[in-house]
Amino acid sequence: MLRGLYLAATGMVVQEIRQDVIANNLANATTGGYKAQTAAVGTFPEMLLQRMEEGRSAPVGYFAPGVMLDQIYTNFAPGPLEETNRSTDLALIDAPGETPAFFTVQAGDTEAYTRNGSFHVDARGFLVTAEGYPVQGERGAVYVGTAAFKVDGDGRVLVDGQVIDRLRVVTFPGENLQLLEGRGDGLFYAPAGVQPLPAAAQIKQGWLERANVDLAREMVDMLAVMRIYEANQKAIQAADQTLGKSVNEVGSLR
Amino acid sequence: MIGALWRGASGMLAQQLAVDSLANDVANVNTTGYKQGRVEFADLIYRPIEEMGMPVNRIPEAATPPALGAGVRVAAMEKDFSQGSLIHTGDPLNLAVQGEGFFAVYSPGGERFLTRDGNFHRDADGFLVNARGYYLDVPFSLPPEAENVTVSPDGTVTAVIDGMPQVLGNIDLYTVPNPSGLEGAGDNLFRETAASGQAAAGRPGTQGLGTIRSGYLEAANVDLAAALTRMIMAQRAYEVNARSVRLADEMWGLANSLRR
Repeated sequence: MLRGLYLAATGMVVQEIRQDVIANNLANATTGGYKAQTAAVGTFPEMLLQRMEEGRSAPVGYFAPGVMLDQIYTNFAPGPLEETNRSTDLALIDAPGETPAFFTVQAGDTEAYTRNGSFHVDARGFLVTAEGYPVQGERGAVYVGTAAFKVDGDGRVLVDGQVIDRLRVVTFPGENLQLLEGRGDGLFYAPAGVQPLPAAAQIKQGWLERANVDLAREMVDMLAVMRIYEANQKAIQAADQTLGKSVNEVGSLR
Repeated sequence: MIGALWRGASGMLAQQLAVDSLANDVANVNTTGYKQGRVEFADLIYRPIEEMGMPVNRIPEAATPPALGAGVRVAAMEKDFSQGSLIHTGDPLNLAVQGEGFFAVYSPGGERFLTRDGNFHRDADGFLVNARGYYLDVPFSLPPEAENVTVSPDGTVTAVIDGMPQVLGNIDLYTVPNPSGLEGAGDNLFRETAASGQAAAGRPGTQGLGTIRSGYLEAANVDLAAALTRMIMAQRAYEVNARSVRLADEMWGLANSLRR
């Protein structure tokens, strides 16, 4: 009985986490370059139940003590592009059949990767993110000065018609994509041992990639979360009632 | 549960700011030299779920533990300094910049501001001033007898004095390394900041600076259709976030009514 109580409780906890992930997606529905996430729910490892019979234990069967969170997956599918006509806005278009590409930025002493190409020129003339992290080219931070600059489809940065650098656009092998760690500000970090590879993506200047959040899907998931949560609540109440009966009514004398 | 509430609330707040900025753009659609705003969002920090005491089936090979994002924040609210269309007025002291660059004006207190609003006129003392009476940054004033004042595309100011055309001086344009770092000071004026960098003067038409068009004013660069489309998007995004707040509230209610 108590097992049933805890089992349904794990169901409620996991639906809460799912709702947290959905709420985060909805909050970022208009965040440039944001990648939607999904919480994957799995069962606890099953265990073998046994009962005592004539001094020996006999197996009853397998039992899974509820559900738990398996992973939070990031959906790296490209978001829709929007034309902005700003020279500092850059969008990545992945080569067909390739894993998604990322811009490289220097965040403190580590490299970080982003799909949000809404860049700026800082007071010193470097191309930076909204948080001021320098965008990396193949020769380090990209200096464009105060001049109007162009970025061609292959990521070459041109000032006054002269190629000054080429943006460092990277990708990761498919099996490593889910290892990337999002830490806010639209940045992803690669864990130790995961090396970026050069990407064959095209760059569109004057365009921005929007969030890839699918609102209809999030709404449907939200409804499902609510109903599953409710069902688990009912299961707990039912278990509680049964427990109440056995505690208060079994063996009572009238 | 409280987590989902806060995430939804952060989304509502962010969209509210977006609507505020858009409403300001729409309100200034007829303001000379007005530059439309742009609000950018960024996702907040992510916190590993295990730290919150939630059960997680930690896949051993996954290098990063599953983490929950904390919502959204406004990453930048900045101006879009793209060119507005030019409106013909015929007044030679109405100036518009075609291309990059700002006019510099000084307040009576001596503070320098940058502006794209070239609605200048001659004050009683012959100084070139904007609508608010701030002085255009030129090293000369117009003598009372000056007539037929003209401003050439490179900023040269010429006037006819006693029947003779005479060059009075020239108007410089200013640029900053990072225009989006400029601080709006109201009245179409912008203040230099550490983020924008130092303003540098130059002759119009040189060093990438634009040219001056006399007899024209620069209209606001607000794209009304785009602004209204964004407004609809912001409103819908606000609504879905309000929904997620309501759902989190309902879930909380269910948890509270576990024991009847």
